[in-house]
Amino acid sequence: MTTKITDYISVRQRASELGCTVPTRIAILPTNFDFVAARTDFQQLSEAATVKALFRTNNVPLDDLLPASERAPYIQNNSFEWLAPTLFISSSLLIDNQAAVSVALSVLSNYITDFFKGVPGQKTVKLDIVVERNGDMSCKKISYEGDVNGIDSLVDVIRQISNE
Amino acid sequence: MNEAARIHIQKFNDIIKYCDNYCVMTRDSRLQRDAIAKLQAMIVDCGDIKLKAVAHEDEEFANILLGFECVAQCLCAELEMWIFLKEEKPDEAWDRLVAAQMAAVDSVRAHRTFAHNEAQAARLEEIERLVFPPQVFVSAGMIVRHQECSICGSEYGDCEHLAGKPYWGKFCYIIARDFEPHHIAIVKSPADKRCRIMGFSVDNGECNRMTWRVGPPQLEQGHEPDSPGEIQRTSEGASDKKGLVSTARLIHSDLVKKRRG
Repeated sequence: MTTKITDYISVRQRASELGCTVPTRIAILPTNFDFVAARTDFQQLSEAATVKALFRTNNVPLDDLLPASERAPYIQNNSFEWLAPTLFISSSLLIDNQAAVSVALSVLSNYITDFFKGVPGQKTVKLDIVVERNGDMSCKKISYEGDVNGIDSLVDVIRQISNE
Repeated sequence: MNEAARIHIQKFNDIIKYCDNYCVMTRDSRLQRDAIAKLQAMIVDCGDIKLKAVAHEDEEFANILLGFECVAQCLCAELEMWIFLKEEKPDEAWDRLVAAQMAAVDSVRAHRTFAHNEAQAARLEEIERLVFPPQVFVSAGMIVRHQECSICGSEYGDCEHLAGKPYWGKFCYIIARDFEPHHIAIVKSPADKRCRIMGFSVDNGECNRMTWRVGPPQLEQGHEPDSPGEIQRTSEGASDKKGLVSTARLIHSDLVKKRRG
């Protein structure tokens, strides 16, 4: 299991530049969010649609970057790893409703556990979470790779980064 | 669960127990074919009873029947694998092994009562490791503009259905619409192990990775195994074979059709 923390661009600023809705809760970031020239070039992982449905049905507060009339195309990779889309967690959510982050990760890990049911051998999950810090609104990216059981423990890492 | 459902379950368990006895290489091929025929009939029965369960709004029983279909499909595929191996057709045997592995995993997902089938999935992995040489797997990445939900037909993600979950005796899977190839990658864990490199070029032709025999290049030829026990769809109520095939395989088939079309 590995957890790597790196700097990430300001999601707030980037969303504004691209004319997207600035997320104030949890958002699913397109795979090319940090370098794309226009929002029409966004691409998202196929699993983003699953996560969107999961969060909606479990009342996890989710913001869409794009208006309802626009949808980024999906990348289907067809490998047996579960490639989770990059999640963004805003500083305001971390202040107002920290429990929502625990719920989101718990919902996600339950689904992935079910996804891997019956699959023998190593079951690897890759998950990136971008956290907006409370003070200067800068962002850090947590890159997690490992067993599904380790996802719940990321709540503490997220909390720690937001308060740094 | 009502008495009629219990009787069906008992009957299906008896068929599975009987046929499981033939899932070893040393058994007579003719007897193995008989077992395949029994399992195919059971799959048809399951489909018919499943329709009635859905009509009676009994989703749990419908999902149990889906699990039985998967178990029967798993045993059928394994039996076919042993027959193909005895006929010296390792490529076809590999395809059936992978089908058996997928069906074993699907049975576990279909209903909690099949959780024990995880051991069968692990056993099939061991057969892969011990009987077949290591393979190089390929995964096709695609850009998909619309993902359709197999259950309700709406845009996947807008509805409440989740890929891989059973609903009323059918698995939800994503149907790719309006797509184009994006990349091909060599991967360690493909969604479908049938997507693999089958041979490599040598001076005097192509070497088959299974048999190590050198033959004429076959890169442009399709690989369509003639299964010794294809499932026959006999009525609308018969088992939906699509539900027993992995999502990735369906997408792969679509891609192949599109390329050929």
